[in-house]
Amino acid sequence: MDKKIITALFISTMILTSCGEDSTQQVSQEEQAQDDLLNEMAEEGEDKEPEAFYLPSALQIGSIFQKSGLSYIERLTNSPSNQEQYITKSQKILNFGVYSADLAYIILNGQSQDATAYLKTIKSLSDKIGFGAVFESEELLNRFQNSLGNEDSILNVMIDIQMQTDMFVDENNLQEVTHIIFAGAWIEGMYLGVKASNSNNQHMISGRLVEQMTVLDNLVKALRSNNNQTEDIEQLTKDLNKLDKFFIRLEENKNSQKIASFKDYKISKEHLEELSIMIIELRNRITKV
Amino acid sequence: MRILLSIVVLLASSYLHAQQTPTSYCPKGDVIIKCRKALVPFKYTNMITNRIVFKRFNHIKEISIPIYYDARYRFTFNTELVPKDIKIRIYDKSQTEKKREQLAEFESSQKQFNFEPDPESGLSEVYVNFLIPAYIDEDGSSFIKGCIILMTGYEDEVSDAFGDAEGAAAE
Repeated sequence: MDKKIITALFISTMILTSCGEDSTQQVSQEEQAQDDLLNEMAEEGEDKEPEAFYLPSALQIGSIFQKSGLSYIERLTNSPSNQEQYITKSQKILNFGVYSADLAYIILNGQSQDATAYLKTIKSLSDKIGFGAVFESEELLNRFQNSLGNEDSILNVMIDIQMQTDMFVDENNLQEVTHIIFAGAWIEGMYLGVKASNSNNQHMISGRLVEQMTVLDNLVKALRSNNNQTEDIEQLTKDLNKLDKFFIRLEENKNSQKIASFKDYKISKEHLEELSIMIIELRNRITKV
Repeated sequence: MRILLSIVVLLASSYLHAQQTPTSYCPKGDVIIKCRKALVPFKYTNMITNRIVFKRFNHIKEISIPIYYDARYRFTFNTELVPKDIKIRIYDKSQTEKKREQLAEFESSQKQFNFEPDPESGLSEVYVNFLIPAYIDEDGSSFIKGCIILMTGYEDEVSDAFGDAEGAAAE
């Protein structure tokens, strides 16, 4: 931008010089050049605006897995006591996403006794990552407390929290942060899917796991679009890209069998194992204290 | 001296134009309420603001939306905040693919409309293309901006008992 301004000022000087010569035709040419330059500057400014990437909510991902028979396993989620030990901003943002996915898992499985601790953890982290305004409403927290035990009501509160978060992100141009939050939530959702699948639900769950590749593709693009990359987020993006490549192999395998929908695709035991290892490694790196 | 002053003003206004915050050209408070009403009875899952910039050449802006099998979706578009008419086309594949099928087409003059992909289609993703025509202001130097709000919702099997997913929002 600075270079452009200097060039524009240079052109301005040229125009001033030409004024002295009283050459109308030359002024006109210089003005045209300046006009083109200013348009170019405006266009470059526009390009810096955040691109829109569609990423579903952690609640919807949890809901999709739950409907496929994902069972509840105690102590699989990240313990709320770990949150105090996340020091860097990236750790806090990623684990905000992790705890959001955990809260969805807990609520969708009717484990309301744990829900308050997770919401408090999310609220605490939200203050530290600049999202405090979303959770400052007493009314929202009271509605959450009063709805515990009533699945429909609590889901409505969760949807409202999601909507308020989206509006807050949009109004404050925090899309880059929300991409990282979603990365944490997505990895945790996949982790829960991998760990809580068993011989009874494995076919359904594995179809759902593979289906997530379309979301991953958008997630990788979203993370790459972030202007302010920290070293750990850059590494995370690389790891997710590696996972995306693995998914592309699975899709090619599905297409070669002329299977149209992920619903009918049966992932091999070896592939499921490979996927599980990658997901567990990624998740443990994010949540480790 | 007058020319110098004009240039400084022009430079400053161009810089400010480039730095314009989305809220200044996209006041979407009321629009969000309209979208939320149009989404009923689908459960809210996401909202994105698509910035639309009219340049001096035709261009297409594309976004992809992943969809899960067995779920029914409603995409509610609100185009009230687009200053000039554009077309919105929805496809089964990206514009980079040679063969693709158009699933729907809308005009921004419709102001608000819904799209519901066929849950039996087996699609795992749909692509929304915003066809933005070339435009230049009378002063020849401005780029006009607007935004399209896209809100999405999904419906689960509980809703099957209620028949067609018609909205029941209060006016």
